[in-house]
Amino acid sequence: MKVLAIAALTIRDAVRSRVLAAIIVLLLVVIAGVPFAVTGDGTLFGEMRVLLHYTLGLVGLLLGVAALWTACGAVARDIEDQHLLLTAVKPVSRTCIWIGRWLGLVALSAILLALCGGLAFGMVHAKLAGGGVSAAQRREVEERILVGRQRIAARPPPLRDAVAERLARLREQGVVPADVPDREAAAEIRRRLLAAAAVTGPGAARRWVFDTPTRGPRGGGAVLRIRPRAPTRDMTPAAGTWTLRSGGREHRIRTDALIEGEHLLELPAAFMDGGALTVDFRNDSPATSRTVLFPVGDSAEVLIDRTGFAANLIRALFVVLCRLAALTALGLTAGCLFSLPVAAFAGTGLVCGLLLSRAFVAAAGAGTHIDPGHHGARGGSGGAAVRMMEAGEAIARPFAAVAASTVRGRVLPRLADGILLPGREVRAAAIVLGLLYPAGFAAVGSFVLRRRELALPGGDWT
Amino acid sequence: MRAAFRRGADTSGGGMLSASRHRSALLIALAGVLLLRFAAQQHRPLLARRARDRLSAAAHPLENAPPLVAFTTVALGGFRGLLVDVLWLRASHLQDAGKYFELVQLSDLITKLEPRNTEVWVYHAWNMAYNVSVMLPSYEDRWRWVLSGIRLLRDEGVRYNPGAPRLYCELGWLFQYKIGGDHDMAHRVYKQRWAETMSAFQPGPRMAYGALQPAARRRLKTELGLDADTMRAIDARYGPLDWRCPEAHAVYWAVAALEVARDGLYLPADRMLFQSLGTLFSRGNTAYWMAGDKTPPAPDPALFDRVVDAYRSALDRYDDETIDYAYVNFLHDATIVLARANDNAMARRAYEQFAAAVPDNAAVPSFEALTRTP
Amino acid sequence: MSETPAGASAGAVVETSRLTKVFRDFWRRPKVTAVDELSLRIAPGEIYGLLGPNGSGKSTTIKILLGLLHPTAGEAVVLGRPPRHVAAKRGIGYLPEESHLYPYLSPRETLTFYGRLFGLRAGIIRSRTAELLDMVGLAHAADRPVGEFSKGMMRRVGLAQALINDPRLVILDEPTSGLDPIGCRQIKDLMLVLARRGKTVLLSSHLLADVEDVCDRIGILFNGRLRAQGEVAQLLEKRDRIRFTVPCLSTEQLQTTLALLKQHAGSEPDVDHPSLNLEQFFLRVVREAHRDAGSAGSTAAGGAVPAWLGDREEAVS
Repeated sequence: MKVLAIAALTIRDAVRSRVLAAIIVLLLVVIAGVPFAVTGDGTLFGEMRVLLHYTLGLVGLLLGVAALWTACGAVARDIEDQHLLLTAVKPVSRTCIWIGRWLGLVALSAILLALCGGLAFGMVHAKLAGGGVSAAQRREVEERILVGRQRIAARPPPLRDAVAERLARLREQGVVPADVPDREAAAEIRRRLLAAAAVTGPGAARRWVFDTPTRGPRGGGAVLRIRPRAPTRDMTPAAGTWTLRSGGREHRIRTDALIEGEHLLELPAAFMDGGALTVDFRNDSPATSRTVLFPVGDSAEVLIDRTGFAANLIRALFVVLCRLAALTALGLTAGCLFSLPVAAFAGTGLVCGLLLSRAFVAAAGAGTHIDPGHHGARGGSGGAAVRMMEAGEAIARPFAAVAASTVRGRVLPRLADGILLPGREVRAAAIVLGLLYPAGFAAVGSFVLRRRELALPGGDWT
Repeated sequence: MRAAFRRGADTSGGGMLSASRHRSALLIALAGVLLLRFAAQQHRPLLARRARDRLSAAAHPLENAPPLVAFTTVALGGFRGLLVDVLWLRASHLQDAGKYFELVQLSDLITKLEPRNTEVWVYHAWNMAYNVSVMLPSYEDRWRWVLSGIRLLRDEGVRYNPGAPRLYCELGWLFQYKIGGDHDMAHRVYKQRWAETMSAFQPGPRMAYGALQPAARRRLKTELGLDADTMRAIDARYGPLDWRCPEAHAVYWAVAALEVARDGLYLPADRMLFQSLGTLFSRGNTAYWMAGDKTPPAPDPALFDRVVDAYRSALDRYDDETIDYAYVNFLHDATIVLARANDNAMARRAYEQFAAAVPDNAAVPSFEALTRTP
Repeated sequence: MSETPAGASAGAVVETSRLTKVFRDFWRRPKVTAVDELSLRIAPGEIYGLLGPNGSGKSTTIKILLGLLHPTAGEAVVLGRPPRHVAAKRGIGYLPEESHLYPYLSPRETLTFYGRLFGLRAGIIRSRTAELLDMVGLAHAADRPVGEFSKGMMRRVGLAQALINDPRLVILDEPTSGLDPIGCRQIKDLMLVLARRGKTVLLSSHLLADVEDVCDRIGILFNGRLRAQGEVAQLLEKRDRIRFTVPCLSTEQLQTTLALLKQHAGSEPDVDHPSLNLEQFFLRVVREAHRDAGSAGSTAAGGAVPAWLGDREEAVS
């Protein structure tokens, strides 16, 4: 009850101050203005994707900044203005104070997020219902964006043994220099094997194996989405036969004009039986077909209709809310430590560092012109630069690991692509971002509040 | 006693000190105001000097930019470059993944953040028109992306950099090579679509300027960036041209580039000019493209002298022997084209000019040998 | 954390033992010794006045007792527990020197909020809020934001929130600051009522007249040290003189009495009429003016002290 009282106070504070009104105005400006500001690729489908992505992305960014800075001020201002004194002398623990503030701010974020999500939902449907939209365009958007399709990727090809065997052979033959670490050489061999696996020439075959879920598809069914690439720009089509096998059943589909782009093959519902679905493609002979590339990764995936757009949108917004909860917790704890401007600056810097750390580690791992693949010459002209890069990478790695636990893949692009956010991912976001990180920050924040002497002039520590 | 002494000191000496301090402050403030005023007065002469010496692409920084863009470029300060890098990386990543739907928006943002950097405009227009378009199987989709590249340069790039001849040339090359060329499998579609677009203003083989309504003139300007009076002047000097052909637009933008070039000299624009005129001469009619007519394109003999004039003008203004070779090659090809079109009189005239233009130490084939049908 | 630290006297509401507080600068160097080996004991039911000039350590002592500052040395026990213990705060009501109320809350919302922090039931909070606002004369402004109030009105709200939980120990830091003489009298009367009902009041002030009227015992601080402590009457008593107060006498009776006194005392005695103090006179004039005008003025007269203040039955939800 004490926690709820403080949460209610926090909400009342935001409502009666001008901060909430300013945030709402900004959000409305964004939602109203983005449709006029963004440029699609000339198709309704492309425009819708950009619209969804940018609208919700900007909303998330605004709310993230607002959550962080408001949280920084929630406790810091109370300490500086000494409003916290009257609360601190009441029988309520510092942890209660922290949690109450956090709950109030998260509740506000949830309300704002729900409002923006509703407006975005309405905007999408209004655009769809607007004039100048053909039936084909509407159908394309409804089938590819306004859905929540579970995406099942193929099992990754078992390359470990092949890589190890090839590495051993190449070392034996002296092809791989002795000073190249195994890790680097194995990565390069793996890249080449993957590239080779992508090529399906005339007369050749390619196989994918999918682990289908036990729950069958709803009305819309399941499709196999394939994205072949053409090795040349002449767009000459390939032709071949797709054979689907699952639980003793077999089904063949013929494609005569397989060119670069996206193709959808209907999958019989019986094949979604919780077992392994094997998909084989056999390319026709050189006389009638061409080489086609299926890059390992997303060139073939099974899409199963699970939910509508609204349910998927709610999942996406919930994940965003969990991120806001983590940001709020960070801001509150920073506010317990520092004054408002310092807390806001430190919090923003930490978040930027987290976001950039993954990119930095990825770039460092890919190598640079100074040290491609970390084969840096020791003592050579690039030696000092290489060591600095390695030091920077070592510092950035823990941040990148933290960032990886908070940003598990893109939420909004998948929403705009009609891909369902998996339940396990949503649950993981709730546990990690919504509970674990805030709990950690709560522990630090309440420890700091307990240690801090609240009655010092100006709220200083000393 | 000490207090009294202090008070006495204040009375006796403090007053004079504070008066002189006030005077110094006033003098410094006055000097500051005068210096600021002087600096402000230098602003316009400096800008004029910048424009005169072509130190920047436009006389006034971002004078054509919308307020929001002008504000953003100043407000972001040093972070602008960082933001551009982030957006560019995102665009590259999406393009590699085959996700093109956001590229127009990202190109728009990147170019707006670096509006005075012509290389940025050039790259993104070229990227959309060339790299992205060929990745799409549908020819209509390809045409969309070619148009996106054209629009980026025509509607935004030259607007922010009206004094940059490079951008006009890049725009002209999109017409000359991407639409006018034939190395793209969808080139026929490009030509057809462009001809259909221009047919709304030019139903026949020539533009009837007298019959062009004010509303049509406005649409020509707002939708296609074309000024009817400029087109008429180009027709008078280099034409008359069939504006349904993409090469005519290459000529238009070449002329625009030369108008803003320093001293009217910009070799790439002149090259584009005489090359496009040459193409219009050799296959000037567009019925072939528009109606899918099986009739092969025919030369437009009326343009022969225009092309020759364009080459000669370039030869006079530039000291570049490649122009000589190009001129000789044109006359060689023109002789053959005219002969095949059974315009022997014109063909012979072309041959005579060819023979006169060939360097002394090169052998000149006879007219009969040149025009013999293989 | 131990419930009752070693050495604490049984029954004492507040007890400190060699309490010391040194403020340090950023580099942890001692800057100011605000409280220096302070040892005091406040018994239940008494009104204890902590006096001293500005900067003597009164507020610092109070803030240590409330757990808002950490002592550098020594011990403090409040209601049998260390000051920072959450349970100790259940029985404390605190009126700070400056108003630290949330300006966007109304008095009703303020009292409701703090009542909830004490864990009181909603119904209890409602009834106590109404009675306390009536007591402090703010019933008419119960729903206006506190940020629009004058300093005196804010002090009244502060006083109300200090009593919402029916505290055993009431700590008042400069309670009469910002109040007019009527308000001051009301505060003092309230303190007396609270003491009669068994509550302990710790009062910090530098207004000696206010302290003299109400306090049972006082302690005088200077530079953080306790210079004097004891019952007011005893400390102020002039043991070498005697004063008689009698009804008016006739001139002859007066002369006779004076002569007798002179004979025994050996010196001429002082004779004058006893006088009211200025506060008493002021209040009498204002009461008469109210009676004549029949108006309440800008400050509403306060209501009666609620009966539950002093009632020992807990009303926690």
